[in-house]
Amino acid sequence: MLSCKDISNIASDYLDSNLSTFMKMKVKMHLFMCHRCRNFVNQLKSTIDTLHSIKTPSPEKSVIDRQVNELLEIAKNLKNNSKKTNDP
Amino acid sequence: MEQLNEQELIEKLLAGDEHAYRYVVQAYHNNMMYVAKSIVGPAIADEVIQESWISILKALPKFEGRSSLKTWVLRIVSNSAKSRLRKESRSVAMGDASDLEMLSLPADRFHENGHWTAPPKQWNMASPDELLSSEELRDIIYKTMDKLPPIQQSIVSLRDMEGTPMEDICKILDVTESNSRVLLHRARAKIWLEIERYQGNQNVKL
Repeated sequence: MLSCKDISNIASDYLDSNLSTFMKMKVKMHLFMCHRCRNFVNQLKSTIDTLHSIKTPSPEKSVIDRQVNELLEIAKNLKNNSKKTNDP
Repeated sequence: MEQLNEQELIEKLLAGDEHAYRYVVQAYHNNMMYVAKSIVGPAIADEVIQESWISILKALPKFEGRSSLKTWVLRIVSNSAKSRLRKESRSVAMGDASDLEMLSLPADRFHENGHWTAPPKQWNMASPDELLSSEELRDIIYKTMDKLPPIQQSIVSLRDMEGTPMEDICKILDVTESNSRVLLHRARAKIWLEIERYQGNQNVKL
């Protein structure tokens, strides 16, 4: 028998369909009898679905500005270097 | 910029288009940071990102499109970070065993026999739509994410928020699939805990 603690550790694998058929059956049996774990698994599923719908946070504007400036600088240097190597 | 396909984006990047740079920085920077921090730690992650960008812009004309641009970029970050570690003769310590032995939920949530001591509370907002409609909850998710170890940030962001294939994530982070699944579950469980705490506080207020 799986304990509630076991369920809490493998709930993602259950929801992501990464369990063997046998384990999956054992989880299903536990969930059938345990409303607490059913609650947990449903809530975890809502959490995952919510994560699927939101994006990775964007960096702050100041970070973006600084990084873009560095990129422009890198690109300029690369261009200058390639010119130098192409010159006879 | 959103409507550009990857080929057009690459052409613009090769042409040195500032808007294209801005677009990729906005879309990739945080993930680049999570990956760099996972491997070298926070102190020199910034330097690794700068070194990575030099490699990325140098190699971009040879990009063959065998993976998505983002996966390719993140693998360059990972390689830069690992070579940086080698230079400093430090070993790579990612997703190490001590971290994997931890439980996904706090031990005091369970009795010794494995039953819940404090079962999950009922949620007022239970469906993803309801969860998404609350700006406060979105903030809570982002704040919780901020506090996760960088490797968990990488995995939850790449897998759950961006749908990157697990196989690519394992290559980028140099972790086995089973470890990455444990780390992903741990990250999700922490986010679940914070949502639960928030909803519990709401109940008290009502």
